[in-house]
Amino acid sequence: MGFHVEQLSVRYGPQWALQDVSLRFDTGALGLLGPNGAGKSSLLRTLLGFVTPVQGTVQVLGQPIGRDAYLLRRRIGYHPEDDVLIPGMNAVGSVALCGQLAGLKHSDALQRAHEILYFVGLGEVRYRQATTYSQGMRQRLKLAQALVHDPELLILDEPTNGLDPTGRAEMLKLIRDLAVAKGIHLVLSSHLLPDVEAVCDQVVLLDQGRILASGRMEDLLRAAHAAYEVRVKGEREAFEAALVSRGGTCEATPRGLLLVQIPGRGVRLLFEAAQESRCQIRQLTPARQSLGEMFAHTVAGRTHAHP
Amino acid sequence: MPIHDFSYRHWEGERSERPPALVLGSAQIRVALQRRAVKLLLLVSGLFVIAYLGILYVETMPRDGLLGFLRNIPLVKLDGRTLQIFLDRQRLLHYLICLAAGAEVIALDRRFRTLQIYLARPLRVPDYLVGKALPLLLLLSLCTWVPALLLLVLKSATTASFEWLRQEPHLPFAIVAYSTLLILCLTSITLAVSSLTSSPRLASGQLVAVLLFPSAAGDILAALTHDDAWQLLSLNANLDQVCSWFFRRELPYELSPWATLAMLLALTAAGIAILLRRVRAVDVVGGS
Repeated sequence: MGFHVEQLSVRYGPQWALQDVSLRFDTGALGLLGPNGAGKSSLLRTLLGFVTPVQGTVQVLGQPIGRDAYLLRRRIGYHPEDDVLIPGMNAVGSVALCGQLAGLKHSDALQRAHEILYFVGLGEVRYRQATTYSQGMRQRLKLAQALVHDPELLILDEPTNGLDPTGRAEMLKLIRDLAVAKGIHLVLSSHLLPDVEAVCDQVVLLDQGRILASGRMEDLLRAAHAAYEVRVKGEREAFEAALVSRGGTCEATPRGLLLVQIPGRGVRLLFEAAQESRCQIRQLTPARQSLGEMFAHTVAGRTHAHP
Repeated sequence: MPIHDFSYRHWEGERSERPPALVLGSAQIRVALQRRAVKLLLLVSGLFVIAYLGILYVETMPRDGLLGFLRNIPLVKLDGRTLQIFLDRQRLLHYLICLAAGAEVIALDRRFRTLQIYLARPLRVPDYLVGKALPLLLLLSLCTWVPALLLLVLKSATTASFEWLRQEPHLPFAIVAYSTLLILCLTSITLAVSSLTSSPRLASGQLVAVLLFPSAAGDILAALTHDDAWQLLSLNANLDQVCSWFFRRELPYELSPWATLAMLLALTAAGIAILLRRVRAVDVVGGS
């Protein structure tokens, strides 16, 4: 099990950061999404044992977070969002130090530091002072520091910040590989929705300290896009009118198709509308909605519901 | 620079039970000892020790020997008085060590946000602070109680006598107690000042001001008012007073030694309180 939080509430003074959040993450890669102030950082702080919840229970890697939560961090790797490094040390030294701090013996930590630096692509520059690294190299160094002690749960906060497109693609491939092939539970917090879409198989959407949506990525996108791209032959206006009268919505796409969203009854409603308007449906494909669109719709819906 | 190697290997070794504060402290000591200024200061401190070894050598020479006349010079004798001078007169060196090895320590961590790396490991804030304090504790020890006790041991070995212990039984306690107080006070003040800013240069400047300004102010006010109570403001005066008290010498100021001791302990406690306030684990994860 990655983590399990039940009715979690966290407060900083009078400000609620998380309210009544229940979430279970067993295995794979979980994406944390949400606008600024949504509660992502508070959830990460709680998982790392830095804040004490006002109410609720938190279990990380099968252990409840308590007084000795810091010991649990031996099994967690954390990649911070900020540009962080250890001054006065080269990459090998700083990664080995991170390993030692997590409980590795000196010789093990040093050997592992070399391996991990090769793994993240910094093998050739591992003896350089970290202060001389570029932004992209520092991102990789942070990943190496998070991985050196072989964590069971890896928490990544904006891991592709500052990377060029090639570096970003490589980093995402690497992260995905860790979650899928190496069996590391991975939590990815990012503003870059394509990153989450590329890496994660589960998503949690937070806003104002509450969960707006959570579940498997495929399910969420499917639920969100009861939408189809349709090509019709015949009176297009009549088809649109018939569809709207049945509660559907319709809009033209740049490719000359109709993007149709239909409630409850599914595609049968499309054929009823076509029959009524004496049109032929020549093409019918599910419209794939991106995670970004799902995110925008869900947050917008929440804003309308709770202005 | 492609990520060409996907051979991630799980680690299956045994965990070390070494306290993380010690791990961090060892790394910090290695970093501190790489600095030229620190090496130079240790060398200067070593020269003091060599000078005192010379005194010890002269002291063990026969009076009727070639250089026996040197034994008639009052200070050429390793006793409580000269050891007090050994500890007391290196004050500037101690300040410089704090400046070279301690002033930037936490300021640099704040600048590079290194705290996020450390505290995301099984390391608590007190562990971090102890780890950061270890270089100063070691370096200051190397020029206070370690050489002072070593000199006493050498004196016993070369004279084959513990006569000094019969004459001044308080000496070991005085050396250890004064050195401990000095080291703890200077370390906590240095790290507290370092934690106040993320600029290493500013931290160094602040430390110079904290170490020198109150002492100057205390001296001036005491001179103007002819009242030694003002010397309580002065770190130097407080240390002088306590040092003389522990070594059972004439007190340099008309002040209660208990008051100066309380002042030094209060300064140490204030430093620790500032550190605990400035170094917080909740800041590890950025964001709102």
